[in-house]
Amino acid sequence: MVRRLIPYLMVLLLGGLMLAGTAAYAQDRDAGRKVAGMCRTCHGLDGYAKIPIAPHIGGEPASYLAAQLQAFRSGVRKHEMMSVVAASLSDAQIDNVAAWYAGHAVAATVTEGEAPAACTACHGADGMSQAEDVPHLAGETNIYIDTQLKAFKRGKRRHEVMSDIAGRLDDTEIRMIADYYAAIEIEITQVD
Amino acid sequence: MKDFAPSLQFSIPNGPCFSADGFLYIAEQNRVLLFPAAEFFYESPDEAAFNLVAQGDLIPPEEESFNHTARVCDIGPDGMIYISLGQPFNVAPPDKLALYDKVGIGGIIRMNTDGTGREVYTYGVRNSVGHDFHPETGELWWTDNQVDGMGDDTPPGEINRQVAAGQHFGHPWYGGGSVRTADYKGEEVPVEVVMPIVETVAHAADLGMTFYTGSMFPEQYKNAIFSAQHGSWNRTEPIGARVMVTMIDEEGNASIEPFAEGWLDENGEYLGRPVDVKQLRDGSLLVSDDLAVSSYRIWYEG
Repeated sequence: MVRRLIPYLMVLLLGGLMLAGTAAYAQDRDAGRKVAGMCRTCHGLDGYAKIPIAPHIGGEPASYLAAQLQAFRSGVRKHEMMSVVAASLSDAQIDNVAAWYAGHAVAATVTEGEAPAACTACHGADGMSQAEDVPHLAGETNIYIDTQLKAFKRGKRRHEVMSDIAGRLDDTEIRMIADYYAAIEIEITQVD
Repeated sequence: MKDFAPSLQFSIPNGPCFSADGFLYIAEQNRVLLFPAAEFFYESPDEAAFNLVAQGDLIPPEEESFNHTARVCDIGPDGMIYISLGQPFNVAPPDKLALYDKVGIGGIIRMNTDGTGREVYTYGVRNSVGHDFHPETGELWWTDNQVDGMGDDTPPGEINRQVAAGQHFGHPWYGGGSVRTADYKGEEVPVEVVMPIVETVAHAADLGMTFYTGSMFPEQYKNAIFSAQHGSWNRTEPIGARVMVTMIDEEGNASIEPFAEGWLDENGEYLGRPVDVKQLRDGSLLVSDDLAVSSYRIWYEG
């Protein structure tokens, strides 16, 4: 098990570094690490969340993280804690902290259940992002995923793809999807 | 640790409380379940569970949130169940206030233990995650978490003392203590507001609390409040992560001080984050911690 995991982690590690590397000339991960002092009580310094209401963000695509921080800052997306934090961030701080968290390596292990067909094209059967601006879902708290899907469904959160998909799900389907992805175990390896 | 009632699907089952006759109640995001024999069948898929408040009837489903939804409950000396309903915003917006007052969101509700007689007992709460009844007067005392984004040292956190049904404690016009919120600054406050009996240090996140009725601790702790500070999340210098004790003198004046600390290290890193304090039957204290995922027992040897 350990033996099999190591090459996988290394591949992801390289992938993560390359991902950070492609846009890295504009971003400063060391500066981002300092900004992460504002995030770590809830999200951890490595992006593994420390409280249930906070999502895991280690190894998330930088484009997704930056887009969410900008949305919280502008008021397009609202959350009682994140709106307060994002209000104080500059564009450079957003890019840097997004690069810090995006640069960590994350690996998922699926243990049970059947992947929900409506989600896998973008979020993977293992809950790993398959595209830019798409979050990982693996290991997030079921009520976090449930809350976000209901927010898309009810128009409290908007996205060109997600609003439509969530709008066609009923509350039972939403909970099944949330339980499936929440049950996947993730491991985040901090990359300094 | 055992998984309680594994066949049931829970949503944020933060608030358990027992009645004097041993019935367990669990307050969730939008349901309250009743377990008449919880301790006998807790591992069984056949655990007997009944709706005290059915799914979707605690609050309107479109008002459900994840944040500020750690509900707590307790059975009062009147035999009614009291349930806290945090409001989901940093500062509740004007267009929600009428609905919230009607439902009891941003408040504490109570009802009979057969589900009848529901009413809003407390108004003007931001997010209360701890309450207990004074062992002698029967008054409801409760903690409240106050507004973020106004600065490291303001507004204060709160412990409140409620002496009558329907009292209003100031949110959203007040952000904590007598500090007005920026959102409602300059507006006339349309309700009579009860100020907190204890102002706690800003952003420390005062959560669970319990009155001490045991005989293990020295006499001075009789009827004192033990309360948990979870610790700040975005204060420049973290503060909290400790158990506080509040002494109440004969005139009813209260003063608060740290009782147990050491969960916040010299680098500002949390080693643990206390959530709740309960008294065990022998008079020692049980403290829960959701970062270390542990419980601690604090006892006294005279």
